[in-house]
Amino acid sequence: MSTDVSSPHASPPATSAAPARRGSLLHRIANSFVLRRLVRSAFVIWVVATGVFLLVRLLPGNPVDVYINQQISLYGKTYDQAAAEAQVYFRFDPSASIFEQYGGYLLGLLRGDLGTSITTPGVTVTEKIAQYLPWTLYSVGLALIISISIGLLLGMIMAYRRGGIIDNLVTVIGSTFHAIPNYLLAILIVVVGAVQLGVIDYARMRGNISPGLEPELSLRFLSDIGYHATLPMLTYILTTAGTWALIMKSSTTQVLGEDYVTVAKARGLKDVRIQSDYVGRNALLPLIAQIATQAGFVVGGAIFVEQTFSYEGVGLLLFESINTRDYPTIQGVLLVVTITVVLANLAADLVNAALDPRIRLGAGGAA
Amino acid sequence: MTPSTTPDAPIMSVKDLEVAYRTGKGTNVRALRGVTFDLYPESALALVGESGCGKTTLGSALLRLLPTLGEITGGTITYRRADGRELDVTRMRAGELRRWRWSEAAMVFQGAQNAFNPVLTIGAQMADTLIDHSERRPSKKEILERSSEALRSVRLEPRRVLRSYPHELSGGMKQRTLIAMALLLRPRLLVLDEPTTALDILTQRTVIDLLAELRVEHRFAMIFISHDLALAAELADRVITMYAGKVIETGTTADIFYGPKHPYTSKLINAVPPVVGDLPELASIPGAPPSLATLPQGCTFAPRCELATDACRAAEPELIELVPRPEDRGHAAACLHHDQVHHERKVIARA
Repeated sequence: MSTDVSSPHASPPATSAAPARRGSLLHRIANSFVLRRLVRSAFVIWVVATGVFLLVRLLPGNPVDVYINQQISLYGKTYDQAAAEAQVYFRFDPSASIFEQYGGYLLGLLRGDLGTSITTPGVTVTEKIAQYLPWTLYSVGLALIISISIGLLLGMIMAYRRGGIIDNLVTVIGSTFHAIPNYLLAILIVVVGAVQLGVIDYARMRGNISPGLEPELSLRFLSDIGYHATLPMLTYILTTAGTWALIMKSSTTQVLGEDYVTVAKARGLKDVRIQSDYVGRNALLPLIAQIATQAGFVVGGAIFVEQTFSYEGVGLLLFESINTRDYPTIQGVLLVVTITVVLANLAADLVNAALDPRIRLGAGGAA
Repeated sequence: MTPSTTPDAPIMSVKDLEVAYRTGKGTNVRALRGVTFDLYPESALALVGESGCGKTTLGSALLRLLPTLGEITGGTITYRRADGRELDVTRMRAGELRRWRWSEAAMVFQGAQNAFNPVLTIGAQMADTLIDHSERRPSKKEILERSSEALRSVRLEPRRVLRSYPHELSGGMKQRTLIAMALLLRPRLLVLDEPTTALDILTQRTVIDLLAELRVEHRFAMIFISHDLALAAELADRVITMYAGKVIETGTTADIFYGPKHPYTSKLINAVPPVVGDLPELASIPGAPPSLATLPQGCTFAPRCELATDACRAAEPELIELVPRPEDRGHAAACLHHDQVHHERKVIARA
């Protein structure tokens, strides 16, 4: 019955994974789970970078034409004058072939150079993103962590006490808020909370920091950015926590019906251990991929909410750069969003593999 | 060594056990109806019957592992510890019940294929069990020694199995690992619910032989739940036949297999081929077991029984003691016409 003890030197998971393994170091590296995922991620980022590059160029009118037309109509400059100015402002030459542009773009990307903004000449896209991104990462990221924590906890309680008060309450409230888009809720908060009831001081709370306050590591600064982030974060948490609770409930309910949970009870294990190591860990596995997908939302999904609350995050940056046709910035922001999603999925794959031994083997044996 | 091993004290006494499943608002189905038996130390009892007769419900109820909708509605389950102290399992509080399970009474389940947490190694799950049943945390060395010993007793190689994940083991290995885990805390009672059902015939044989050996070696009392009468006959020294949630016949293995006095037991035996000897004619039992929600008036087997008379349909017969013996080893059948049951098997092929 126990026949496959052929390679005692190999690590235990690999023993039964690859029957026809040659055992050379090169082969083992090529088969490495982590390496495969890394290569795949790099490939996805390249595909999206190329896609965004081409799509932006498919949009009617190029940034230089827009700039030249602006200069002509606003300041009465001649075409040659405006074109010469454009030459100074823009790194890229519209008459260059698309292959040259693409090569330059990719070379820039490799050096970490995303190009220069059009509307604020002299400022690189990297600088712009570095200025806006931290605010979004802070507000949406923190909200996501809070929302997931609350959701997972509620979901487990709901599964354990199916049909109870918490279960029914969260199901109703959760599905209601899930059905409301977050920008609509943001508007509702402003209209009802600030305008009609007057309980929210919208004029003071909008923006991401009180005017005149400089970033520093002090309690005053931290409480101020916390105060300003309250409304967007509340919007994100309210619209997502209930959904997490419902997903976690169904996942936990399924795990609770598994034989190994009954056996764990029969084995007289402590309740805390059964809840965490047996139920919690297995219920969480299918959720990890979904959590990772949501990480893309951290950067990209906040456009309308940030606009409503004048919260100067990367969503607002994207919105403004589309309005002003700032193509390099659009390109840069979309690339950052992509990289976030890809990295989050990569992290999810690795976390999943660390938590679930079956996935590690399945991936190794499949391809 | 201890006075409890004297034959006169049963390790577990079940008295008038009633279990009901909630099936809707205010409606119940009685899955067990007044089950009574005594189990003596080191004895092996087989529970046999068709699907849906209450075997598994009884097994789960003994460890209070009924699903959420099931509930013990009456009767007592008395467990006698090695020191002679008696515990009523039906009244144990959560903490007490948790410590009692597995250390005194372990259970090997029907679906061993999913009995282990898929994300933990077998070694980690063995360690869990030991840690949660110890006053002080056992050392790594102690855990390794005790888990290895348990695995060796089921003929598995500890070095390989302990660091494997459940999905890396074959079905038979999983079943043996579960048995090893059940023996880990040296329980005095082992409940086995269809331990061989999901296995192929050769693996079944290995597991059955193993259980017979382990019983001699570890001297636990055993309750063996099976629809496979041949296996039951091999492992058990006493057999209880169940039908529609009730004990309808009880006796030694010889009583039941050579002289069953309930027509249902007789027909059940004739429905399966024997392990050894001549091949007899196999006959299925006409009809199906009654729905527990709508039990017929009187004897529940009457609709499928050719001996049934009006007296059978009038009132449900109680167990009638036919051969009294001590230690609950007597032969009893719940049939008014037990004297008319003549068990015989028509041989159609010689061995």
